[in-house]
Amino acid sequence: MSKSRQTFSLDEHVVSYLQQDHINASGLVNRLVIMYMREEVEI
Amino acid sequence: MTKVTSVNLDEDAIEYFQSENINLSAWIRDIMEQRVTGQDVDIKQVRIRELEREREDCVLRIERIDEQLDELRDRQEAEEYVEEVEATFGESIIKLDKEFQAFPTETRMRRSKAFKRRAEEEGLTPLEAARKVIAYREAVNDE
Repeated sequence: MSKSRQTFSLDEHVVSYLQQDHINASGLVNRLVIMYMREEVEI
Repeated sequence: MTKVTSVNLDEDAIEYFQSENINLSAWIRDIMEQRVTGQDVDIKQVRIRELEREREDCVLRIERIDEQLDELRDRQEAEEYVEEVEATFGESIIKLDKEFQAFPTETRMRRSKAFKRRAEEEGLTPLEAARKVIAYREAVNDE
């Protein structure tokens, strides 16, 4: 699946969280997005 | 305080957000804030905030459209008024007004030899022409 580099302005503490070694920022964001797209939680 | 970061997003995710008209940056900020602060990700809450933002955007858009509509309608009304005034006074008075812009009063126009000559050329007496030019200016300026 092709990917696109996207840049966001986030609160500093959020960026610090995402930049931790054990966090895969892209993976996490994509997972959250997919969860939302699949409507895994009924809205 | 904000800081910039980049992530690699799947193309279909980006397309989805575009098709749903969702502000991706705001959505990411919202969902990440919940994640970082340890709250369970509540999709309903995220969607409520997204819809609130979308609603605010729509309200602002309507306000901007209304402003443009008001402005255009005012301009249209003004143009119609000027056309109406011009039709009422006729071409000769409009020409005299343009030619004698430097003469602000009826008296100044009537004292001018050039004005007398031009008024007669237009088939009017200098008094009649000067009064009509002044009335025309007042009507246009009333707009």
